[in-house]
Amino acid sequence: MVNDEITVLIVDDEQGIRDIFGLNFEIEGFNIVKASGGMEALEIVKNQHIDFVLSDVQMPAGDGFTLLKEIRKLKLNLPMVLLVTGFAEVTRSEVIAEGGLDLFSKPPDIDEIINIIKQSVTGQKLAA
Amino acid sequence: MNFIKMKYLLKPFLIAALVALAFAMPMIAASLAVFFFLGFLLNSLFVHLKMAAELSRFEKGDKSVQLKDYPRLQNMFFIELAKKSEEINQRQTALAQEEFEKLTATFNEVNEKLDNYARELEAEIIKRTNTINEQQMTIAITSKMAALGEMAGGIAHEINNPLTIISANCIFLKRTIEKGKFDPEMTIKRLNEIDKTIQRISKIIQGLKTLSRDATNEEFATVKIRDIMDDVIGLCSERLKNHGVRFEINLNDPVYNQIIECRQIQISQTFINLFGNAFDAVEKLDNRWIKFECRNLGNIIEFKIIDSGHGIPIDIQEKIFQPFFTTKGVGKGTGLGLSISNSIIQNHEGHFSIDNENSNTCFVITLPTIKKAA
Repeated sequence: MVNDEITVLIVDDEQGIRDIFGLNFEIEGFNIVKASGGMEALEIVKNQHIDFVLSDVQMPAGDGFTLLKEIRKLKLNLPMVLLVTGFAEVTRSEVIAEGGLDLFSKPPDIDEIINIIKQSVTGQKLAA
Repeated sequence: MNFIKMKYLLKPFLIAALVALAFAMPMIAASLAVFFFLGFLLNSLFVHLKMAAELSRFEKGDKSVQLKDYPRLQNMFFIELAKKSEEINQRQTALAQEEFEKLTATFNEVNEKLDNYARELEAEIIKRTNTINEQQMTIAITSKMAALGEMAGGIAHEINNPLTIISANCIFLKRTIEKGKFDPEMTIKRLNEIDKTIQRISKIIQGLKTLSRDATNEEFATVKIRDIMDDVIGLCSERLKNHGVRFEINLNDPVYNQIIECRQIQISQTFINLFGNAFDAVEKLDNRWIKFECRNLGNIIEFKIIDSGHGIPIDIQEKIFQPFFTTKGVGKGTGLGLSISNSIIQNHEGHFSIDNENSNTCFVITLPTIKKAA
């Protein structure tokens, strides 16, 4: 499959991060959708097709871990990677236990994230 | 005449009688002397015995004995009384002297004990003062460490976010070159973004100096209020923003150009502590904001730190300035922040209070612009 068939939802309360992640993903050919908090992201997930979610954890308008749990409740088989900035916000095992794909500390390795997106989405699309 | 006859007749007898009398005179005189002497002795004995008996009765308290009936006795009694009185006086004087010496000795002893006690107390005070100083230093360090610990998570957040922006921009620029999509205009824009973000981190680090530097022996210096606030905001604003706490401060107000004489790091630490408390108080509220106001009241600057909380309950208002009093959870607050802040403000001849007129939580700090002469 081609990358422009992949839509990535970027969730972060900081615009600078949303923008530069977006630029990095666009150069890979992904479609980009952005949200500034968990609540806004949940609405987007409910209303439009998303292939992958990359979300910050600590955000004022709905945290990323709650977003992960809410998405699971919707029974959407949506791969999701969380990013943490501080300490002790949430652990990797907690994220995986809730069905998340992985947890990275900021600043993350963007190449690795792009690979995860490609693999997970391709795998899912192949499986489907 | 008969008479003349008798005269001659009696004459020899008369002469004889006179001669006899002449011989008998010393005898009579001696007898009389013995008689009177014996009489005197007997009388004296009698009087003395009677006096002794009366005196004995008098001494036993017999009121029927009237001393005036015995002038001599009275006399003797008074002499005796005077003697006794003198004796008593002497004994009293001796006793008083003895007593005084004893008292003096006791006093000296007590005095010496007191002196020793005072010396011991003084030594103990010095020892304890040293201990207190050491403890205070430990508390100051502990408090700073606790503040650092509390902030470490926040600081990680504050620095990791801009680092993410820098890192992702670098990767993006590298990719544009690798993919042959190099765009000078875009590159400049991205490089500016990187530079701006580095400045952001730099401000946070600048703010950190207020926590890392030892402010214990900091000297008073003249500082612009805006410089203090830049450090404080640099350290706190990211944390507030990341938790959706609105922060209001009008740095365009000319009052921020005012110069005050203070220990800058200590004042910054006080504000950071108050912002930290305000943050903890409003973090879980729906309406989250913190406001900072500054007014020039002549030679005094008034600072107000107001948050969207609903005030400090009256019953704990006095306690909150006491060391180790905290309403925060275990491991969250040390209970030292406000007590240290309060002592910092006191040392600046300022005033630290709670404004209960305000419907929100409002701490008021006043500081003189010029340090009063010590």
